[in-house]
Amino acid sequence: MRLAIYRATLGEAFGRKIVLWGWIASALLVGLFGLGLAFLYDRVRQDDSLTTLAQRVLVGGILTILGLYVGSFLSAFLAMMLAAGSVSTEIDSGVLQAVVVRPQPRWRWYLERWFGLVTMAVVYVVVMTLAILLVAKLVSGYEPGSLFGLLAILALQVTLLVTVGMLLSCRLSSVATGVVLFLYFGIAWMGGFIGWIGGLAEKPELTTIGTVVSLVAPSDALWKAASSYAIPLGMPMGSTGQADLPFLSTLAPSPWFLGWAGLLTLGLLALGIRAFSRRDL
Amino acid sequence: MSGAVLDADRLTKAYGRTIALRGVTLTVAPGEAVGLLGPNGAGKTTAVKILTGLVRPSSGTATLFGRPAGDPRARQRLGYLPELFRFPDWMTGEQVVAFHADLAGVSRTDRPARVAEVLEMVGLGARGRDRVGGYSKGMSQRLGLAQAIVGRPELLLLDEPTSALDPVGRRDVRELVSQLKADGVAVVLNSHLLTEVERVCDRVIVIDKGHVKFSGTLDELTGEGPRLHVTVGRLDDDLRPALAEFGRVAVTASGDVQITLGPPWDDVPDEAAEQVAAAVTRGPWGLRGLVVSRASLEDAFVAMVSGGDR
Repeated sequence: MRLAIYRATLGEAFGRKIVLWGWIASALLVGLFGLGLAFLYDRVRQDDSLTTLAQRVLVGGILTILGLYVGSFLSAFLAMMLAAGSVSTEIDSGVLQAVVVRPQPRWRWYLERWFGLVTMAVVYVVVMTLAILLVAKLVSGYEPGSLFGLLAILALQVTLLVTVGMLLSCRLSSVATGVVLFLYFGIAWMGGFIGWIGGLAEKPELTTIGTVVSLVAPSDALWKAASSYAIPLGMPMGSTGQADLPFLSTLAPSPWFLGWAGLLTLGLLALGIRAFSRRDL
Repeated sequence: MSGAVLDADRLTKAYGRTIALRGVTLTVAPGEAVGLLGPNGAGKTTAVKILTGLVRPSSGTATLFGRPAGDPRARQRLGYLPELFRFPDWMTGEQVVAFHADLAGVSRTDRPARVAEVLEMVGLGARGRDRVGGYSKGMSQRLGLAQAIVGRPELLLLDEPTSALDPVGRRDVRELVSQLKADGVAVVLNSHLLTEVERVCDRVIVIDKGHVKFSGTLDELTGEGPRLHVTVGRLDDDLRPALAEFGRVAVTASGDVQITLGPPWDDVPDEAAEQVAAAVTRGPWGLRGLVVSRASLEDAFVAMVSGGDR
């Protein structure tokens, strides 16, 4: 047996035309982003108030990061959709019963399924990000500070969301998993926003709340960590390290935070394997 | 039981306050076909799920081929058709069976031939390349059977394998199960279709309200062995002794002769029927009709699960 469940998970995405329609919709989105960016960047270049090249690069950069933010949001959305019914639907439909009685341990099914979903989510976020960056490069000459850092952290973000979704799907129905997962994502975003307000208003208690939320639900903090790598080298984004925008960070991410997010993902994966291995089917 | 392919000892399963199984003990020997009977909610499917490792018992033990049922190695020689099953509708029948063959450990080189073989065995040879989404219920059930046998199991657990089939399909499955049994495969058949159980199984286990109410042969369940109803042209006192060697002879109110076959004829009722026909035609009585029958399993089953605390 060579990753039969992994291959079946990927095959399902192609067989159900998820990949085809996903890419068609995404290509439309990237096309729209390109049109919008080209239009806006053209306006920026003609704007007499933006006199320096640095100012024009700054505006083009912010627009590109906004595009990446939308791409990241869609990738997170896709990861959550993929994970929401990944276990419960298979159980409820009766597909799983004939599969898990085969002579392999249950953890193997779970791990291969997880790996398949993560592959899809990571490929999507990487291709989407590269497509947006390519458009930005062609329109405004934009280049991220660290392409590898940007892609790696975005990949970790969708991996985390798939992992949380699969864990929830071991115990909850598809709809309930979807609802809880969106709340988890929303809480992370809200935590990030509160932390940003705390930074602006110099309210340490708000910053602490944002930090605690980012440790429990790090998806938004991961996006911000990724965004710091998206910023072109030498791009002026403020001297305090905290830009006046709620959706990006100019601070290089703490290795401790990234390590924690990775460990949290692995821990949740282990919990999911345990929950799946012990539940009645 | 020593050498049993399946051995369950005092299985109990509780779902919260609901007790689905209460100390169920059962064994299945190699090559034996056992029918699992019981009314809805009796605990049959829970028992089967414990035996396949899908459900963990609250207490008691279940082993397959001497290993705990939850151990993947115990399932290497197991084939299973779940009661509620579905296959990915985007796959073709061939892909479904090939996927299960892969999981069951059929080698890559053997797989195409084995997939084609089992699809042919279940009557889907011509439809293997169709998408499962276009299959009828009966075809899906045949596909379920194909995936259950693709790994050449030595123990086959079939949970309602003919519920969606028409009479021809039921006969096909019956013949297939009989063939597998003849090849030495042990079969556990969980079915509400008593005639299927009657025709295929050596032994039945009746579960009701989580208890094993009966375990034994069909004859033991129905109370007596197979019977021959003989209609003759002329009935006289010499006929009874001529037929007494086959079993207990009685004359019915309608003037037919009824023979409740005794040993060794009760094990070979068809052969007994031939011998009785020969004996009657040799004499002056004139054979007008001969029917082999058995006391109704349905009657015995209904009486068993309707009695007591029901």
